[in-house]
Amino acid sequence: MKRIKTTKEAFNKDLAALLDKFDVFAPSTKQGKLDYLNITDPEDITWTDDLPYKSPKETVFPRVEEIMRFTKDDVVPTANVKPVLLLGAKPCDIESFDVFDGVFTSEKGLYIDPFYKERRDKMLIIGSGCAAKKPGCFCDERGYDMTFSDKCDAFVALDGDDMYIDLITDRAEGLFSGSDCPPREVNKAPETTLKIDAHENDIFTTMPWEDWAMSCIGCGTCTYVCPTCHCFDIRDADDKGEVTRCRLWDSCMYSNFTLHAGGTNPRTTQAARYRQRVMHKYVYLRDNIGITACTGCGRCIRLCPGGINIHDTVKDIMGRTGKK
Amino acid sequence: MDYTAQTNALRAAADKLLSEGTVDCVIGLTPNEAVGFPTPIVIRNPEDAGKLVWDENCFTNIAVYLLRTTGRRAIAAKACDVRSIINLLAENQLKRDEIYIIGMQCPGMIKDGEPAPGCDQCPSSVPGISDLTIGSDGSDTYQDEKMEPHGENVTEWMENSTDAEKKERFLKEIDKCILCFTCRQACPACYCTACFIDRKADPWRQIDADRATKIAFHLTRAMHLAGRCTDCCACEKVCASGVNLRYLYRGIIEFVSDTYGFTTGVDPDARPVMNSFTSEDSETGFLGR
Repeated sequence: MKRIKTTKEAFNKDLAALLDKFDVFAPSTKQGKLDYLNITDPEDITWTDDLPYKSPKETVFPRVEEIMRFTKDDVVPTANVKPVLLLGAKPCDIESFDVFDGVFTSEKGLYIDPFYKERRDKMLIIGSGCAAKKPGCFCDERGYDMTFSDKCDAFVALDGDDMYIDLITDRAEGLFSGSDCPPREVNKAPETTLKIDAHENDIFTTMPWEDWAMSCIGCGTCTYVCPTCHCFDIRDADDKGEVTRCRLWDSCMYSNFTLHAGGTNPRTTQAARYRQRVMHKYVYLRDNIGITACTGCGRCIRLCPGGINIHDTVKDIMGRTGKK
Repeated sequence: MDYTAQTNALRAAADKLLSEGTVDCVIGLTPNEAVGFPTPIVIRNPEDAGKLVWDENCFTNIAVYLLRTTGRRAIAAKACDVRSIINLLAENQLKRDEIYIIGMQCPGMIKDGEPAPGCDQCPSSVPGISDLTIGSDGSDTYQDEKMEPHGENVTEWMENSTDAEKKERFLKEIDKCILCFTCRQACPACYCTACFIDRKADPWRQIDADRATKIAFHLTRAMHLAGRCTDCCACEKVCASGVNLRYLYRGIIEFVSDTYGFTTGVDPDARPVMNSFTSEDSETGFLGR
């Protein structure tokens, strides 16, 4: 891993040259709240230690994605996907792409999703670290180092007007100019202390899900801001004989989630839906792809109007199943 | 204002109501460190009364939990919660004898260090109806208090803006929306079991998640809330993306007020304005005169 030193000004200049080739997404307060936004001017980037209010998963998993377009007789070709450059992604958000890769592209998953894979293969990630833990954050308990992640192409650190760039993959070589400097000292990742080891059957009916989900209003904010939530729905839209097939985000918090065509729904209560969210993250994906799908970013906790806390729920489960 | 005294009075009231069996549960707010503001709780045992709290960050509208619980319920309600409750009573969604309203005087709440959405222009710090009164000094009488106006006055802005400016502002706000429907879920007036936007066979939610679907959702919801929106701003308070929905709903409220002289959430016995028709109405409706 090579490290180069440059200035913020020079970095912005190099970045401006990449704007033609990439859709650049970076933390910005351009629209009010700090969010990963598609920026057209490097000056719009907000360099701060704060965590954007929602995750960057939209860059490879758009809220609405056109996957096919056809008429009665023909398939209409869809536009090519422009590569994404995700800049300033925090370590927790970088880790989340592991979960997406596991679900959508790995051989452990059942399918390889061509739409996700195309975007992901073209994507370039430049991370940046957190200096301080925010209220509700628990990435350390999930075993992630908040200051650094090497699961990206490059990693930047801003120090006043100086910019340090760690070049991690070959793809990052040559994008930015700068002088060589000693490599970064990587911290040892903390130990994962928050995880569920119990079997699904041991917690499915025995936990007080009703109590935990009591204040849930089923709004879905947690799933929309979550970096690893990836449930989707497929809809067709007919416009004068031309049909667009879209993939849209779904949310296990909605009352029509898993609603069957016949009108029944196996998850009839909000408690059952909350259980699905916790189990999917901490049990089902652990069993299916070997990754617990929670990076500890704390967004769902900070933005929940009902004050539901997945960290406390999992801690409670660990206590009740005897695994501290 | 004395939040400690109000909290103590609220805890004493909850303890008494639950111990004497007057109610089955008390709906209120409890401190939540991770979130940074008190979040909803439903308590059923007198021992849990100490979990309740009343402070300057209690902006969450908890009237929505009356629709999610059954039995005789007490609720620690501030003025905006009570307006929502009054609307629900008027629409026969709640039975008055099942609801015990602990009226909490509220001089306006704080969210993220600033007045919570709508609080700075709240019409009254005093709940419209209540079974028990907890004034801002913790006593059983309401005090004379109001929050100072802060920031842009949406009502005045509406009056001084052209239609084109209002449209531009609305679209600017809507661009932040991520269509998660949190506003709908947090709204005490949005209690339909099947929302129009969730009907999969309908074209509303199919394409163009950008403007078209957002406009369809927000404008249709606004139409459904005409004469029913109590300006509690629960939608804006919970919005993760910070969409200022007041620039839409203030317009609806002004329209209903100007056209029908009706203010929602004042009189539980008044017929909801969109449900009432008299032969003196300027528009003849189905009578077709």
